[in-house]
Amino acid sequence: MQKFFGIIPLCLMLIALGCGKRNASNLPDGITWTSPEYSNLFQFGYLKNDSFLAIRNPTDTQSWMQVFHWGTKNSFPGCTTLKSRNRIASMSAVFSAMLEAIEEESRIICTDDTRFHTMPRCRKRIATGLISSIGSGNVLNKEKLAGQKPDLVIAYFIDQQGKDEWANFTKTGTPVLFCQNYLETHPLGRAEWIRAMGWLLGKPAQADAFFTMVKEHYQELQASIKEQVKIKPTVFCNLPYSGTWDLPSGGSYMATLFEDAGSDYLWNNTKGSGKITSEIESVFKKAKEADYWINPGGCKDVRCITQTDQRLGLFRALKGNGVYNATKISTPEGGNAWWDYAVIRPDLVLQDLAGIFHPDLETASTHSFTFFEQVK
Amino acid sequence: MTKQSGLTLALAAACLLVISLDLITGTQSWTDLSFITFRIPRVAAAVITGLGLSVCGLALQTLFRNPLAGPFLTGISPGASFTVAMMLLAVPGGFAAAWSQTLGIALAGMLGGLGVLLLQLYIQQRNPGTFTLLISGILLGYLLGAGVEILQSLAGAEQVKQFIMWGLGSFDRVQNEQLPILITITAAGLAMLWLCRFRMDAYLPGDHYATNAGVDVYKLRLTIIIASGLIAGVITGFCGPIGFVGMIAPHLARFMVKSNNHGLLWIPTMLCGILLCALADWLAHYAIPGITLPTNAVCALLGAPMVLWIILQKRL
Repeated sequence: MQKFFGIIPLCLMLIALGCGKRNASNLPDGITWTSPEYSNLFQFGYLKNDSFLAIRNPTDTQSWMQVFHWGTKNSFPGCTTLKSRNRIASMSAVFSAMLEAIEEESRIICTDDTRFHTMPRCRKRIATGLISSIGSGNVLNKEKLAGQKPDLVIAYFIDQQGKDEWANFTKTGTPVLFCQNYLETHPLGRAEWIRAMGWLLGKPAQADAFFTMVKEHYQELQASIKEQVKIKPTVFCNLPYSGTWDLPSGGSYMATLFEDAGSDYLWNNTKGSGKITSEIESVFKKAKEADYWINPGGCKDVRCITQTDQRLGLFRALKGNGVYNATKISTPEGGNAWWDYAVIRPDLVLQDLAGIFHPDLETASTHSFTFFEQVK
Repeated sequence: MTKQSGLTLALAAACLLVISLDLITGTQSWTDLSFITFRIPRVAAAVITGLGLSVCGLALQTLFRNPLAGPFLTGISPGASFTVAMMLLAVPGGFAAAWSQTLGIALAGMLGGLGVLLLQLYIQQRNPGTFTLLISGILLGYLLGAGVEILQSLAGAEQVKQFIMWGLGSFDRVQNEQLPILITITAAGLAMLWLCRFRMDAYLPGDHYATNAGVDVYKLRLTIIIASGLIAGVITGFCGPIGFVGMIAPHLARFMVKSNNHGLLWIPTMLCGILLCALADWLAHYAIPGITLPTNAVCALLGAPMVLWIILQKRL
């Protein structure tokens, strides 16, 4: 019996080594790797007739968290081999949007919560029952998910617990691909994950063409705004919850969008790519005279904002009709295109923002808003 | 001057110091709009919460003759959380459709607290006794907690976020216009409890002693429950659940006064409550520059070591 217990630490050590971070040395030589332009968290590669998709570790981008392989060979060392990619479980509306953009939404069999999808073809499939919900609100029914027998689950995790739960799910034999695009710091980095999807589903040219179109439009707008804008209006965003106000940090994708749209984001000098938490008083001191207020929660009218906290009516942006929210494309069930379509079309977001901040700009004058509408 | 009076004066001075710090830190001008609109109601809410919850805790510890009693054990806070969760998570269209947001949350919290207490009263009528109150309070807490968890699992991410933020507790959300409601209801509850202070002294040794001393035990329990429900309900509604203050402040006061006389404990308990809340508010805002910490967490950080210390001193 003692011998049996003595083996346990050895087994645990071996398991730990087997599940440890992978690096290029585990993989066969000769793979040609391609790095994306803006994303820091994935790479794709090929070796003769075999393809590879490597997902980088978000906390240590020098190491690989997952490496997937598909093609002619049955297996490659250090890789998860995908036998089939026809039945996909998409655990976020944004992954579904990426698949729809490359016309591969027919592969989606289920999703986390169908209510939050806004992409038209996905919604049609949801309405006809071709895409089912395996969760409701914030709870995923993983037993139901396993019962759907997907070939691949595309998921994301917020913390180690979430990652471990998905790792446990792979014991059912279904691989889980982590698409951590929400951690990208550049808006084009978030959108570039469409190239990973295209590579995965055998549509690399279509995905590349889509991303190139988005990228070129974004860069063109960015250059034009930079050239034309002389005075930058001040801007802040979000809505306080119970007196606490979360704002994107200076290194976040939202701060990049504000900067590229020719505005002066008031929290631009803060460090990090996540959020900073402040209280309503500090935000008021800094932003009371700001010109624009973007994305005040789910509010579509001023009354909703002042009902949240009537002191919010003191902001100049609200008095001067400078409040805009990305609520133009939303569904009655609570879906909002800001969380799916806007992620893959940052160029249109930039165009909207430029139109808000600089209505007289050449690029903005003829543009009608895609995502934003004025909060009146 | 007695030692007790000296300690009370020192406590009052400490309160004034912390309140002043909380008022002046980062303030540029007394007439500034942000000072009047945000700082004054925030600090006032911290003071009222400390004052209200501490006395509420003192009364509930007497009612249950249990040193750990507080709004949580009686089911007041779970009741308030449940009705707030109903409002934030179950209202169609989420918070955008919620009627008069902040005031609505406060009223929901108060109604939830009072609703639980009415249920407690009904249970008391059917089966009177302190332990019945305590056990039914704990059971109701579990039941309502389960309801909150189900609502959370069904709600959208934004609604859940709003509820979670409410649950973290904060004095920042209180507005000048809401202070009269907060003050009036808290004052009414405190007045009810003040009038009971001698009867609470007689109640503490036991029901038989209280009855022999001419105290209507049922009426006293009813008064304490209604007053505590009003105070804890309105404070929880406006500021979110603020833990530890109701439990720890009476113990600190007893440690100072070295008496169980409610008349003597009254002022030190209130001052300890005010000191804890004002200090928690100040630390939440200024302990880490540029970052606001959740008030409830700071209260727990201040309160839990104190409870442990009292346990180690064998005073519980």
